[in-house]
Amino acid sequence: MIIVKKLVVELQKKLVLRFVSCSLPQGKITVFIGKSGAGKTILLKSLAGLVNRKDGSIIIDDKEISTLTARQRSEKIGYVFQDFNLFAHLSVYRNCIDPLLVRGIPFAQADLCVKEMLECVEMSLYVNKYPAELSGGQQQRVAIARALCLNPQILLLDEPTAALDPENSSNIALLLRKLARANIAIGVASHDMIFVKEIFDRGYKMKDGIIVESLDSYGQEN
Amino acid sequence: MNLLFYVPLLLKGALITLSAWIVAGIVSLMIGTFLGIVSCRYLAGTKIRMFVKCYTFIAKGVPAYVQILIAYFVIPALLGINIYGFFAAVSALAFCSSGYVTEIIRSGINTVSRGQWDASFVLGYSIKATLLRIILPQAFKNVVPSLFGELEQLLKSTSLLATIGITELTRAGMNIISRELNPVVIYLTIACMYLLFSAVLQLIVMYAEA
Repeated sequence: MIIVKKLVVELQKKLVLRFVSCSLPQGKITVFIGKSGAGKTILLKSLAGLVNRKDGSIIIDDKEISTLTARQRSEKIGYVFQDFNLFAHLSVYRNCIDPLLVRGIPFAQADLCVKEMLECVEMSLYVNKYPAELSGGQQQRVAIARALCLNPQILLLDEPTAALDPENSSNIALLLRKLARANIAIGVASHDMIFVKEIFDRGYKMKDGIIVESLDSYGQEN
Repeated sequence: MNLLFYVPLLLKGALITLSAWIVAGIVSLMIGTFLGIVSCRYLAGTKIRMFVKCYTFIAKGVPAYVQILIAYFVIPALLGINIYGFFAAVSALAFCSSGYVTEIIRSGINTVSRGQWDASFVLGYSIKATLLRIILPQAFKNVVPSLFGELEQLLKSTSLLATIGITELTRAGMNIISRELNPVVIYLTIACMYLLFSAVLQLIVMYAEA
C-alpha cells in the first residue's frame, strides 16, 4: 500500500501539487480523474520518483520512499507511461527482459518470467517485433508486461487509453481487473470516463493540483 | 619516371598517415564521447556545460594547422621539454577533432527522447546502464553519418603533419616530386590513395547504417 501525505510539488517556480493526500491500497484500482492540467500525471510521476517533491511524504510499506534506492523503488512501483516509452531499438522480448538482466537475474529465470508476462498480456506472438511495428494497443500491452516483469506491488498507469480504440480500452480494463485480483495496487490517471467506469474501485477527483473529492464508488462522493 | 621505384616510400607515408588517423580518431572519439555524454541536456550541470562549451569553442575555433604548430613549437617552449613531432601533431589533431565529435555526440544524445531516460529510471537502470544499453545505442545510430564525416575530415587533416616535417603520405609525395620534378603523376597517385581510404570508410558507414 502506498500512502501520500500532504504532497507539495513545484515545477518552474509554480506549485503544481498542493498538499495532496491519498492512498492506493493493494488489490484495488484507484483512479485519479480531472481535466488536463489538474495534476494527475505529476502526482503519478511523483510517486514513481520522476518528479522531485518540495514537501510531504510518500510511504510504501511503512517506509518513506526517499529511503529506498532506485532499484528498490523500481521493484515496488511499476509505471506505464502515456506514450509507453518502449525502448525503440529493442524488440518486444528485449524490452521486457533487459530490465531483468540489468539487475542480475539469471537469464533462464528472466526468460521464463518474460514469456509468462507476454502470455498474460496476449503478446506472445510479437516477441521479435519492434515498438514501431506495433499498434498503440499492442505497445500498451508490452509496456504493462515490461512493468509487471519486475513484479511490482504497485502499478501506475498514466492515461492508459489515450492511444486506444474502445475495444482495446475494454481489453486493458479487463487486464487491470485481473491484476487487481492478483493483489497489485493499481493507480490510474485518466479523463476517459467510459474507461474509468469500467475499472473504478475508488478514486480521487483533482483540480488545479488539489484533490477536491474522494470517491468510494463511481459517481458517488465520499 | 618509374613510379614502382617509389612505391615503398609512398606506402611508408601511407602507413604514417593511417597511424596518425587511427590514433587521433580513437583519442578524439574517446574524448568527444565522454564530453558529449557529460554535457548532454539530461546530465550536465551549469559548470560542466560551461567547461565543455569553452573546450569545443577553442578546439573548433583554432585551425588545425595552428594547433599543430602550437603543440609542436609553443607547448615544448613553454614547458621546456621536447615533444616528438608525431605525438604533438596527433595530439593536436585529436584535440581539434574532439571538439566536433563532442558536439555530434551531444546532439545525438539530445535527440533521444526524454521518455527513454524516464523509462530507464522507473525500471531501475543505473545511469551507466541507461547510457550503455538505452541511450548511446540510439544516439550513435542517429549520428553515424556525421561521425564518419568527421573521421573522413580527420583523415584529410593528417596531410597537415607534413608542415612539421613528418613524412606522411603528402610529404612523401612532395619529397618524390622534389627529386623527380613530376608533380602530375605523384599528386594524382596520392589523391587516389586518399580516395581509397575514404572509400573504405564509406563502406564501413554503409555497413554500420544497414
